[in-house]
Amino acid sequence: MKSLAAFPVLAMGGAICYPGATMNFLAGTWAGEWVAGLGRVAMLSRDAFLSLLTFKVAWRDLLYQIYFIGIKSQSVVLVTGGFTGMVLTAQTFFQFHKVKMDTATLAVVGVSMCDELGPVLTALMVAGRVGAALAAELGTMRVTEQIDALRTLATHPVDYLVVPRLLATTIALPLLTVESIALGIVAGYWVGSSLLGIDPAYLWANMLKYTTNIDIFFGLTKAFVYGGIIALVGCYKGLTCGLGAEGVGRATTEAVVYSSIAVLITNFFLTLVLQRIAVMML
Amino acid sequence: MIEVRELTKRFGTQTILDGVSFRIEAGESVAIIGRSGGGKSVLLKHIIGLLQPDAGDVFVDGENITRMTERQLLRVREKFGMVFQGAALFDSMTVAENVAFPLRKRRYSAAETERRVGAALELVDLPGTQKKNPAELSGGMRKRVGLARAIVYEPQILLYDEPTTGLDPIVSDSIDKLIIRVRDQLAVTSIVVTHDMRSARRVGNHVIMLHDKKIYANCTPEKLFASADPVVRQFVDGVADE
Repeated sequence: MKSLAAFPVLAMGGAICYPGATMNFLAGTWAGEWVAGLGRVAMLSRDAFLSLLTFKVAWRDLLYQIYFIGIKSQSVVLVTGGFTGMVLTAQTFFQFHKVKMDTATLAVVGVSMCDELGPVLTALMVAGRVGAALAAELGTMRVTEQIDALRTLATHPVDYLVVPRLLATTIALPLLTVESIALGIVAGYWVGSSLLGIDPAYLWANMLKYTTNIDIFFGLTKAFVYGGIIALVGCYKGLTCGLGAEGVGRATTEAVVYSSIAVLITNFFLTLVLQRIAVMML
Repeated sequence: MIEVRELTKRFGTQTILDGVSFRIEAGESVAIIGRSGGGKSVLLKHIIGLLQPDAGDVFVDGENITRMTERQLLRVREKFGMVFQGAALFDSMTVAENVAFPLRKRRYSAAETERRVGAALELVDLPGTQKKNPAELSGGMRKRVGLARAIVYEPQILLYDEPTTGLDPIVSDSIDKLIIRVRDQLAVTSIVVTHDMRSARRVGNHVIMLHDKKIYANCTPEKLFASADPVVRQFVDGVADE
């Protein structure tokens, strides 16, 4: 059997297709399809990475994608960050008040928002909005033969479609995450000091004391990785979607579901890896 | 020169093409005819490397394109222009942006790009439509814009995938005349996939007929349309099975 690296990017069924070599005993099974799908996403990632290295990027499209993913996602990300910070402050206060630790409330909110809630919730919201849009856009292009047209015009779909979207998402998601974290902490501060009656000076000072640069590094690293996952899954689902309206609909749904699940699973392992790195650095 | 050798293509368990071989010389104009679902478009997509065969080879100017990667194929595809059945215009772009798309890599000045786009649209009888969106165009106009996009960079080979399907007879006639005009003015090799007999007779100086997954006839239009062979006659006369 040929190794995966020996396969060229083949064209099957009118779409760019990344054939996966699976072990024979898995062939035709659900597990085999799943492993083959992971292999194809990995090959798409490799193609996108090679394209990046050779600067075959459509820069004008990159700017548009940053606008679409970054600017157009502002409202949903700000609402998510703000209200998550507020409810986390309230819940933390209700528990901490019992043990007279009221002023530590915002410290918990700060660390939680930076390490977990900021990057994960922002990624889930962006997966819903951007992942679906990417799959629908590329899927529609596939069923209307626009991707085939690109290929006949000597343009590689990965260079023209995938790389700008991948770059834009990995640039925009960390920025959106910073916004979400900042608004979450500020909203939490307002709830704590104005509605719950916690001393504002101690509230803020404790947050600054316990929320470190490492937490911000965790959040930004996670956002960068999740941006890559959302873009790759969305583009892959669009480029390989089934024919017709049903195919596009299914690709859109799967892009959101798979990228959300991938974000949640990756979050667990990434947390362990980043913690280990943090321990080694300190 | 395009040469197809023993080409076989299957989708799942269904065989679409089975050992198809033919050769098209530079400058020739060939019509590929056959029943709907008979593998005409599949054959056309193999010629430009959009599909990979299960067996057999496709040679373009002596190069075997069936063993090439997608990136290697990009170089070969610069020789081709293709007009799709549904035009396949980029719906996020205007007509001018669609036609100018293949010129991006050629680093022409803005004025030169504009001039070439204008000339291509002039050739397909659509001057002044640069700022329109594809959604504003009729089916015939979309195909003309698709043709303008395919010829703007002066390719050596033009592929047409059912260019007159879904159009009324008058628009179909104008598209046929356009194909002949482009063929004669640009001296390109033309391959036209069609099941429109009038179109096949006019645009091809050679006709390839696909039947039952194989090439059934490969001759001049005059010879094909004068044939007494029952399979050819049934298709040419458009008679359904009893």
